Amino acid sequence: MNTIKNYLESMFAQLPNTPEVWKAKDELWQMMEDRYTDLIADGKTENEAVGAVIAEFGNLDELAETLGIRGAMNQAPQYQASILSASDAFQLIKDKSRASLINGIAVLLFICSVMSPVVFSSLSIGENSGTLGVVGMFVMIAVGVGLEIYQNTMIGKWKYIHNQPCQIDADTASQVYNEMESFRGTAAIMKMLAVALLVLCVTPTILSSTLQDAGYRSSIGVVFMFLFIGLGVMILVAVDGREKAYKELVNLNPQSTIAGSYVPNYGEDVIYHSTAMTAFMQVFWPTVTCIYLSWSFLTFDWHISWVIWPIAGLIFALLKNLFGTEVRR
Amino acid sequence: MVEISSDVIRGYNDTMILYLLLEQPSYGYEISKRISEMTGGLYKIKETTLYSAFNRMEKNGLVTSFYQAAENGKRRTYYSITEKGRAFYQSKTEEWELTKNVVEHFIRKG
Repeated sequence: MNTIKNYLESMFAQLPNTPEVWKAKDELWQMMEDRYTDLIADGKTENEAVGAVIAEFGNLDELAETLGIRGAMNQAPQYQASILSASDAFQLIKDKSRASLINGIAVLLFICSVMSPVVFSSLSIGENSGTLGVVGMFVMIAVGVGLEIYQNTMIGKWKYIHNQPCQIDADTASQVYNEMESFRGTAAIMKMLAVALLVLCVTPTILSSTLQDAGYRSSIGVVFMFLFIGLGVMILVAVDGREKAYKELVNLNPQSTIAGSYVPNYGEDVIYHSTAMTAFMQVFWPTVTCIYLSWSFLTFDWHISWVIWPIAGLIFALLKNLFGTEVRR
Repeated sequence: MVEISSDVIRGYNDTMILYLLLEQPSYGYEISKRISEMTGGLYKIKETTLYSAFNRMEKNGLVTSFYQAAENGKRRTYYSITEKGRAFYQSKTEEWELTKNVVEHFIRKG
């Protein structure tokens, strides 16, 4: 059954993306499926049934006139794109997601390496603490670099999809597209968590400065600050890498063909369900700017007034996700 | 074994399909199956041929299509013949009688 579906998809992959072509594909699929089911019921083996269905499919040339695609059929594609199978496509997503997570961990290590000298010097374990701190820093950087090299070789084998024309069939494209859509919710939550970590990174320092204690406790604030920043960046890198892998796949296909109908052609166009919300979101950033400038100039609290920006960003992202819908252009 | 030339039969695909629709509405595979059964497997209509015939006849108002759920719960496209389709079928049968008569004069038997 999959063989038949793949056969049909590959026949149609290069045809123009129009309702007529979709209808033809849909109905031919109905006929093929019916014939296949009937042959199997007659006691034919899977292979015999698939062979018979494909043999009696006929020639797409016959559809050219009916579908008004004579021009498109004669206009032979300049290249023969190789088709990436569904299992390859999902392997690519898996590899790239894993690689971006490793990349994120490496970045986390780079960011945290800075805190090693601080931690060791506050531990007061003798005169070597300074040296140990620097050694610790370089160890973390070395591991980070190692991870970077590893993730690079991991995704290296997929480079070919950009060096030679590659496509995925409409069926795979639809599966990838559905997975991409279902990942959107998780991605939004993860990104908000990351932004929250980045915004909150200063709070441990503020809290620990109230501890009034000598020794290692004073460095706790620094440790948490770098951990928060590192984790936040790590999440952003990992989520972004996975989203890019999905987009990379669905964008492989030319949008004008059947297989390209899953190219997400929406960008930043966001529609809000109520007019009040639309108006509010339009004046959001100017209002924030006004508040920032008034607050800062009136009180001269420049050292802290900047927190408006990350908080406003968080609120904006939240409102956009809750009340807005991205639309196709 | 002789095979039917697709050029000759092409003009009569519509006739066969319309004949099968005279009784009741039907769908792609059923029609193709019945054509091959009725001819004892001598003529098998290709899926693409069948679809382009449906499409052309629908555009010309000879048939109309509608969706109906199949036994397996899937949506299937059914076709039914229109009045115009019946008239067209009638004229095609007359045309065939005439054609057959004319050609028959030039066929040497045995």
